[in-house]
Amino acid sequence: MAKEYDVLLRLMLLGDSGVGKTCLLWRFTDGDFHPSHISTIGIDFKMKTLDIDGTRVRVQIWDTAGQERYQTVTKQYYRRAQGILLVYDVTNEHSFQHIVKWASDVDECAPEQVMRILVGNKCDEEERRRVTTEQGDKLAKSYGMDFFETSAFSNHNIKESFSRLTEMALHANRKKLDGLWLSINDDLSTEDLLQEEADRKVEENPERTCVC
Amino acid sequence: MCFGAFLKQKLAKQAKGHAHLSMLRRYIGARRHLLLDNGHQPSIRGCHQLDQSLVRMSQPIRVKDKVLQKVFRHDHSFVSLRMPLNASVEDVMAAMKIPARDHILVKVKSSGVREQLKMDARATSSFLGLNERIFLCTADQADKLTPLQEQLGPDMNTIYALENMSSKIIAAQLTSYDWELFNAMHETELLYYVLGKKKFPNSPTANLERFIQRFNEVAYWVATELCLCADQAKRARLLKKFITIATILYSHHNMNSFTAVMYGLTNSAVSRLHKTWKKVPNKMKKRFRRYEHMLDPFSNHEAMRQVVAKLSPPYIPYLPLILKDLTFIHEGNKSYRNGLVNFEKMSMIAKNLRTVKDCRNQPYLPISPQNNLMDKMFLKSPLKQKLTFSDQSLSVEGAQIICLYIRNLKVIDDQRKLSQLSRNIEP
Repeated sequence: MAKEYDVLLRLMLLGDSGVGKTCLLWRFTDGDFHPSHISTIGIDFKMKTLDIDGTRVRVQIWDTAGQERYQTVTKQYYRRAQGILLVYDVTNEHSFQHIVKWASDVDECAPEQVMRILVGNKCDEEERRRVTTEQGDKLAKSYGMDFFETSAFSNHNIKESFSRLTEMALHANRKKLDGLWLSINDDLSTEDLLQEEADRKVEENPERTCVC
Repeated sequence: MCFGAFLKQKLAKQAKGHAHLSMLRRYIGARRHLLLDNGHQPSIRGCHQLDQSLVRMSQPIRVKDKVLQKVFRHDHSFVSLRMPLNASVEDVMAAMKIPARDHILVKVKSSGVREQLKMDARATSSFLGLNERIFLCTADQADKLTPLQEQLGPDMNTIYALENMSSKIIAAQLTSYDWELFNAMHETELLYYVLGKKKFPNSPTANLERFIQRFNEVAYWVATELCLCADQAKRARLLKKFITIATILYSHHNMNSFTAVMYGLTNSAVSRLHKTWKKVPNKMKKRFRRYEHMLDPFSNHEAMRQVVAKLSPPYIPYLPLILKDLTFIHEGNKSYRNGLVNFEKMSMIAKNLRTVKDCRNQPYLPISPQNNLMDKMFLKSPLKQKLTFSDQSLSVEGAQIICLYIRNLKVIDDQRKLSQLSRNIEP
């Protein structure tokens, strides 16, 4: 099967529950959460291919929605990601204050080269706004992150923020592109390992290697 | 007589001369201290006072239940309150006769991170994280709050006890406790959890929360024990033991503790211990990698879904995945379309809840023969004098001690501290 992309990058969304992470993701992937997308094995609705300076980047986005209370689970996602979107809700001051906590969690568990951007979501709700653009900008600067205000409702700045993070992650990993390829192959080989039991049957169908 | 006192008495009588038992006695002794200080079973954090008798089956926590809630002050003194499960912060303050305008309730983590509780927040005790505690203070004291000693977790491992318990027994005890907690939880709690407590203020999810925190506890227990073990040879033995335990848990179809142990083993503080990992035989490492692959969220958790699809009841599911699916179904689909109920969405939700119901539609039959000991314990059969942890000659009492150990794990839940310990033992 011909590869439809050159590089695979993994991004993830972090932030308090209710800040609209799932809606952001939904908008970005132009997806509809169709039943088959949720329950069917192998179909990943959180994939999108972006063209960054001529490189076809397959972006796989992980969302920890619904799993926030499983600290031990979510923390391990950080380690496997190359880029992280820290999301807060501009109408919810608490979610903004908690960004500090999320950022320190990332520092503790994620590799150093992980790229981060700050996203203030729900910016269409101007009358309910509790966190100003300046506050967001200031916090982002203090962490040396890029900052975007987005609205999943009006589809504002969503593609821009995801693209920017992808671009940053791609540049950070440019030198390690070979390494990235390796990690993809790792997935496939461990996938084979999982299939150990099924391996006996694989002989009948030896070409089954790609899960993408 | 509380269970700690009972154990101490029994152990004192029978275990003199056994080094590992005296160590375990100290562990349980410390636990007793915790119980007296806290007045509640630590693994349930803030809920339900521990029974006066021995180990007892975990009962479902109901909305109208009164639970013991401990509120600490900045000087680490405390007040115990017996409050309805669903009491609000305001109710707690009123019960303490504290004027709400001067004081606040703050949730403090073991890492020292604080979070002020809202006055209308309900059932706060059931939402406490692993080593989190609730403090009462004035607004200007909040910044100076420090975590309690008990929140920081143990500074000694329990390898002396673990080495004397077979992996089979540990796995069986983990599984039987999981089954109790899992059965205590009604599947509708998943729905309340996903739709949010705001929509269902009177439908607490305490049993689900307890089940979730147990998962975190087991995962941190694995990491804690390994990171506290300074002796490399012992550490390697322990690591192999945990992999074996994971294998047995998997064969029990207990995806809850299986994944919890795996998350403990893949914790960054553990996975960086290269010297220790080198001592794991290749065959075992290969098996471990196969398990590790199941945790990979790649392609919407395809690996885990494939494994779970093959299981037949009774089994304990990997709940994070079900909660994730429910969340996506709920957030990604409107409940009404053109004024009509979105039936497709409702049936997708129902299907997931039914999965949880179906996987326990048959009674769990203990896989290991020693598990019958649990029944004997609850029937209070006469205790045998013999005390040993070995598989073949496990007495009722030996089983009780293992059972108590497994249900009262002490853990470090501060990742920073675990990483530090890990760097200390293998720079």
